[in-house]
Amino acid sequence: MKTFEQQTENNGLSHLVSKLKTEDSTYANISKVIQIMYWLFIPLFLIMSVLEYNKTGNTDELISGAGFLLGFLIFALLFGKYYNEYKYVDYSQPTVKMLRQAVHRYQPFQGRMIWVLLALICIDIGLTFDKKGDAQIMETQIVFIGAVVFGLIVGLIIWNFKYKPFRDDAIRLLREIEG
Amino acid sequence: MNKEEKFKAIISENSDRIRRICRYYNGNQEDQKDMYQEVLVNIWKSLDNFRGDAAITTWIYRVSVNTSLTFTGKAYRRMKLLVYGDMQKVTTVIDDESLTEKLKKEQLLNQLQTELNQLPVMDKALISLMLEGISMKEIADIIGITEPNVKVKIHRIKTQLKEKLKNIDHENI
Repeated sequence: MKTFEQQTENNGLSHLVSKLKTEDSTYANISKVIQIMYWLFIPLFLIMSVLEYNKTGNTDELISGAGFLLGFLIFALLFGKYYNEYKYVDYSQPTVKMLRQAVHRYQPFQGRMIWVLLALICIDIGLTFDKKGDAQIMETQIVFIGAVVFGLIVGLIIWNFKYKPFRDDAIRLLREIEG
Repeated sequence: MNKEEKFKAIISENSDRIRRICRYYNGNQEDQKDMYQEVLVNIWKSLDNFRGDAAITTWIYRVSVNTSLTFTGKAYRRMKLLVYGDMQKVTTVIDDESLTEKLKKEQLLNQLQTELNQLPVMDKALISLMLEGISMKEIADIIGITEPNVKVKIHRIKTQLKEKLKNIDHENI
């Protein structure tokens, strides 16, 4: 016969498992939405750009569409990759390996930032070829670059308060263990 | 066996082990419960990565130690190594017979606990695993450093503790 304590523990465990399963299914749903974006939105955008080009015969429209398409594609692929990587931290790795990964994960500028930059350039090309006249192009550049710089500053502020302490602690622990 | 059954089986076999690790790192019961809960969550999240290439106990200790080291960020600052239970295990930290005899005096044991609490975080993690009776090889597998490195570190910690306790003992005489 189970004791009261064991029964309470089992009930608590079942409750926890059901919460964790809900969390798992939420993550799976987000992943599905990303997949839908890959397979529906991007081809749809491609078809729309080609149709627009066929209608107007304007090469700028085609270049603009290709720029947007490439930019979105890179972002979609990056998001999918980041999502799988950041969804769960694997705590079952040796401590040193886990800490090294934490240091890498929480550093503000990573090698893959080049891909983000490339996606932004593609979108900028898309925006630029979509506009007519120097004034409109200049205005677009100012707004776009301004928005990117603003996003970067906000991102760095969030990183400084939210993620930098984790990174500093992980570095300190690594030094302790390897020192 | 599905994930849920596997999870429940692991917890029912290892809950005492996990609770002990949580007790090493937290003074009050509420924090112990929170950390225990967090270890369970991390076991669930890491379960898909368990390939069986390490013993399940090593795997459990890895998750427990890694969780305790990153426990909501607060463990770093106020982590305590709390030594409970049997004197025999505690005195394995000090493998010096004359000192061990003296340690049995309550004051020195308290001093040992104070000194353990002042160790750097990683040293505490190593000592907590040692107090669990885990082999040096297994500790190396859990932390991710070589076995000789674990031996050197534990030897260094023991030497430091012995020196400190000897000094205190002399002062008392």
